[in-house]
Amino acid sequence: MKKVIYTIILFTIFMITPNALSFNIDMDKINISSSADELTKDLDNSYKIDTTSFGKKVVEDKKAEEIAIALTKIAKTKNISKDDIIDYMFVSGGASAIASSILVDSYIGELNNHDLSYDRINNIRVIKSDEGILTFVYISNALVDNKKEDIVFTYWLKEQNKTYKLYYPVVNLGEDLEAYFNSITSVELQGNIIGESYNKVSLNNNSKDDQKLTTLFNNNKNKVVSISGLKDGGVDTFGNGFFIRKGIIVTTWTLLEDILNKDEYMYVNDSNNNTYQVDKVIAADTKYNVVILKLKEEVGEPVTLINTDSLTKNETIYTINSKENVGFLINYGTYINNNDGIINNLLPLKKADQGSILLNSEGNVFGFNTSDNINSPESIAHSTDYLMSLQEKLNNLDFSSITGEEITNFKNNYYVTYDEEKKFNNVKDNIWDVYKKIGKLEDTINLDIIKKSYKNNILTIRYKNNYTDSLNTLYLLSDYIDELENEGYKCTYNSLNKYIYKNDKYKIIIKENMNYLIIIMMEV
Amino acid sequence: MKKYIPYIIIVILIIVSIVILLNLKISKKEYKNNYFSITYDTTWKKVSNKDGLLLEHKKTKSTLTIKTKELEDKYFSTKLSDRTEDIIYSIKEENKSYKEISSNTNDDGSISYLFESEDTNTLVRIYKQDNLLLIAYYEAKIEDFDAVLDSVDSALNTLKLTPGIKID
Repeated sequence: MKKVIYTIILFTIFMITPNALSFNIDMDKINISSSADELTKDLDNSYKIDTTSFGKKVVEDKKAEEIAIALTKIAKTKNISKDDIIDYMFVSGGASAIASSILVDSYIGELNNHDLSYDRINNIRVIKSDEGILTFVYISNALVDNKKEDIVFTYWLKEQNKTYKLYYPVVNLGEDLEAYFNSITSVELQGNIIGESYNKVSLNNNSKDDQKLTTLFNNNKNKVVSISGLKDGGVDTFGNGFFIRKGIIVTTWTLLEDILNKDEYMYVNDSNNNTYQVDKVIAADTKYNVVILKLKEEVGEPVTLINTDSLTKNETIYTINSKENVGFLINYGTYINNNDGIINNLLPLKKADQGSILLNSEGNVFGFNTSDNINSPESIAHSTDYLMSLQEKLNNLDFSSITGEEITNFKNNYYVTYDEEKKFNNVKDNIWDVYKKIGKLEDTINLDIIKKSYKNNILTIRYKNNYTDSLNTLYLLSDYIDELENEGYKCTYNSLNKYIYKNDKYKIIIKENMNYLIIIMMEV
Repeated sequence: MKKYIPYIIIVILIIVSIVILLNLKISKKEYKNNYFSITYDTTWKKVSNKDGLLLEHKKTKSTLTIKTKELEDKYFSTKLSDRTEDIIYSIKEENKSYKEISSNTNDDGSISYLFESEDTNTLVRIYKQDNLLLIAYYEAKIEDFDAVLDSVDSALNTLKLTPGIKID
């Protein structure tokens, strides 16, 4: 009886003992810029940028989102007509309603030219302006005429009788934006400087004035830079920046982080093709997405900053940047609004445009582009208002007295170092003697064994592939596989990173996982 | 009463055999929520679907956990490879007794990290699509890790992220 009681007690203890496994990830604690915060906390506080009021306002409009979802559902209807969206249309009399009706006709005509298929909206962005509500509906990998393509629907809504009505709808297919980017890229590659605007979605008539664009470009070209990260002897990452003071440049934190993350060396080029080395990180703010870098030389021409409040609605705005890391060119678009330093514009951007300046028609800088919303008719920039006091401070200091953290220290702190892996072996010699004969694995596999385990009649062997960058692990197995086949094993499964071999007695799974070769052997 | 004992034993044996046979037959199960879907084999049992999915391997008590997080809109276009160092930093802060021993970028764009403690290995696989971040982590005792890994890989190969709004 005692034995039974002891057994029950032991079983109960076993059952209530917490599982020894304890790895845990709390998603609320995942900070997508955590290492950035760690890196920037030691920077000199005297250069700190006050961004307390930056990006505080959250713009949400559920009513506008619901209308956008409903219109997007209708947009994939075959042979769509005005009747399908009549409930949403801007219908009151006057010129606006007539204009809206013409724009809707054009939209319906374009929808009927294509066969659209999608079942998911990836994102909706709502931008409020004095002209109404702009909603952008993003669909990734839709089927457009049976071809995978991204779609961005733009619905310009206006308030009418306490509800929103559709004033101006536009469907932007991936190919439309691609054509725009190809066009301006070819301008840069040909060594020209005048780009254009994306006219498919426009709130004003951005007419092209070559003389004005040339003047703006020439007056500001010495104020901008391209920033490149080198890897394996070639340019891997690049973006843009601008001089806030002679020898001091501004770019986005995300660009610097990309370069720290992936590349071995960074350098800066101006529009005259001079190359400069980065010396120090002076200040950074990850939320505002900015970093201030000191070059080794006191060069360049600083920008003139103006307050974003001076911009007017639907004003034409300009950007000078390098899209392909070849030259610089000027493009233009429309300013929509500014929400606590987050500026929304109708100005399509690519990732490399981040860090480039935004100018008004007088050539004054009010913002810098970010990569927060790229490959879209609209984009997001950050106001330079928060940099005004830092610019003043830096202008009052002698270049040599401007301190910062050495870029090399920053880089060294960024990289992750891996710990030494523990070797493990619980396989008894008599078991190993049986299994090692299969495929003569001690002779045919020339890799280090890291883990060797035998449990529940299953033997597992984990090898480390130290040649991993140059050679797929499974290529290193040809001798072992030849030997298995000589021994009469048949391949019953074969994929890119897994094989299964069997004979009457044993099943052998060979797989590659994370630069390891793993062999699992068991009796059939 | 004694005359029924053989019949009772036979019935018990039949029930036990059916249970064993049912357990031996490995079939597939699907789990789906608003953010992802995954198919796993029945060597795993679902322990919880609070904040994602927690599966436990019936034989070894290894665990496979899948959790998601909706990121701010500004990270919509951000590539996962540009942010993994930050994500892994947060994970390491929470699991300080674990050593990071290896990492790898997978063919599907996800990024894997391997951690080791005194007696366990943990595979962390990070995925991102649009503004949806998904982290799957598989933890097992060192002696079990490689044997169960194939089943984990098979399940993760079926993982589909479904960010955004479903429309009919």
